[in-house]
Amino acid sequence: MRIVIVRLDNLGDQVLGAGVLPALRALHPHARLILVVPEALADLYARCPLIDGLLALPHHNTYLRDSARLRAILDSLRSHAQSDLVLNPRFGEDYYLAGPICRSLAADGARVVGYRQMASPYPGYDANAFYGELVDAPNGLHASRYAGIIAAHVGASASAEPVVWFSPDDIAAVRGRYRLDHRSFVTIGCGASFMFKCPAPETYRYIVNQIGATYRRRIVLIGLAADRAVAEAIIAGASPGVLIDSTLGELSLAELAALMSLTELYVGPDAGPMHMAAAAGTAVIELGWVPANYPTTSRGDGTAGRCWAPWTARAMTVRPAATQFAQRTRIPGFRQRPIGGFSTADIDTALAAMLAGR
Amino acid sequence: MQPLLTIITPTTGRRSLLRLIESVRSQDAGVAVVHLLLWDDKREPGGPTPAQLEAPDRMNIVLPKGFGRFGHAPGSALRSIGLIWATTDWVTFADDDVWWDRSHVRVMLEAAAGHNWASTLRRVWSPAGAVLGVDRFESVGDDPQRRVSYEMCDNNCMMVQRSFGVAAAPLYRETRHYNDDRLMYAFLKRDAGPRGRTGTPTINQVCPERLIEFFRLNCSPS
Repeated sequence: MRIVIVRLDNLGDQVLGAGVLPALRALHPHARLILVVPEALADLYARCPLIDGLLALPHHNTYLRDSARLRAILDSLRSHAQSDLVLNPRFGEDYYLAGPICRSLAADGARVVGYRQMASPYPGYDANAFYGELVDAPNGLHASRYAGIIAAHVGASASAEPVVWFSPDDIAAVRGRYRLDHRSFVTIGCGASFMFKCPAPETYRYIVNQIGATYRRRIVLIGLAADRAVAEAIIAGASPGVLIDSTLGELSLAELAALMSLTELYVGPDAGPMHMAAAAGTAVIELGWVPANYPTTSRGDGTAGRCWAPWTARAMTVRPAATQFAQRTRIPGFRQRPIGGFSTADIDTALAAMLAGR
Repeated sequence: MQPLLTIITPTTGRRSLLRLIESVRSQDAGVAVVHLLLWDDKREPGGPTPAQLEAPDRMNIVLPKGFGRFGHAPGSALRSIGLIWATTDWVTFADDDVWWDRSHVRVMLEAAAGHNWASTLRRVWSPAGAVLGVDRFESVGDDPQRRVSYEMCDNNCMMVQRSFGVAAAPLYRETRHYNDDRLMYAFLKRDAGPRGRTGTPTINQVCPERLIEFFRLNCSPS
């Protein structure tokens, strides 16, 4: 049996949905399990022992508006051995044209399974038409739940929890390169997929100085090379004596997962590394971008909040106040600006809960 | 008829205990049950006494002063006595702020057929008597649609084969934390095989006033 899981979304969704792999492997121990992911995220699965192969697709921006490019990709996928079961575990809208990609990988008579879509992000595109089985699930569940629901739909009974994979070599690499001891440092995430999710420099500065000066923890910054300016501003604003190192742009995703397993606490915005930290069993403080009363929905533009909170009991979320959020969203171009004005009292409470007395 | 199920209720004699007793008496399963009430010295003023509740199918055990709270674990040590005391094939818990739907025992036994344990869903009520919804977080274990990252089933939602209850009794007796059901769930998940599930709410419980919003957030309407 050959099973393909098509997972074309961003890092956070990949981590939250990765539990589908152990669930399917437990159900079909001898099947050939192939994963289709964006090439930029293939490294996330470099240490995954559950898959037999990985097909890396170019970023969706390269084919969304280029039908010839899309056709070439689909033709290339059809040339691969055809599959008996094709799964798309994404519950949210199909921004990535996963429907035709799933169909192209299916053998005649194969099961092609995806969530029933209620809306299409593109005029004339009906994602539902590409699936033989459409799964219905309640909207508003945590984003990590949809992997398990679709796995259960095809017969899996194991729970499908977020997971990251890394090796002892990855741990040794990050420990050696940055001289890190287990649980002796706090990791701070710089950057997110959208600027409106990112904390403002003054928030970072306050957090870094609290962690470094009050709690006397060493700080490690993580993020993409593109976010180095954020890291440099954080380092420049740190009080004298605060120990702080940047790893931005220096870690593979497997190494990042290893680092997350070593850190005492992760602090950062709603972004992929936050979900990696939670999946690695590390305590998390989320710097959320929406207030507590934000609508609980797993679909649609602007989904946020509870459905994407860290999936761990060892997490706290610091949120902007509802009034402040409302004011912010009325400002033209707010999506291009970072979030300011977190309550320092809320930050203090969260840091005390996670670091005091340890 | 030989009893099939022991119901373990740690209690201080709250008035709501009478509602539970009535709901146990009204079951439509057609099987005999034993209702075991476990007390220490703590009593609710004006509530029923053990002697007033004695019946052919309902027994009381009164434990020494303070037995019902070991560290921060309310009722856990009392439950451990019930688990050891039971002689029926099946055991379950029912706290004195719980009441059962008429079909509860029947539906649970159907769900438990072929399994060593089963769980049901819990309908949650506010103290004022409003339905908050169906618990989707602490009566669902590892169900894919659960609303929290941790896994557990509330004591009141589980029914287990007596042998597993006996094996778990030390967990209840020795814990000093408010976590006996988490320990039990973890033990059963690890050692008792697949869990039977009713998939539908068959019990009711009142949540504390201070937790109404938390429960509302983690319940579904039906």
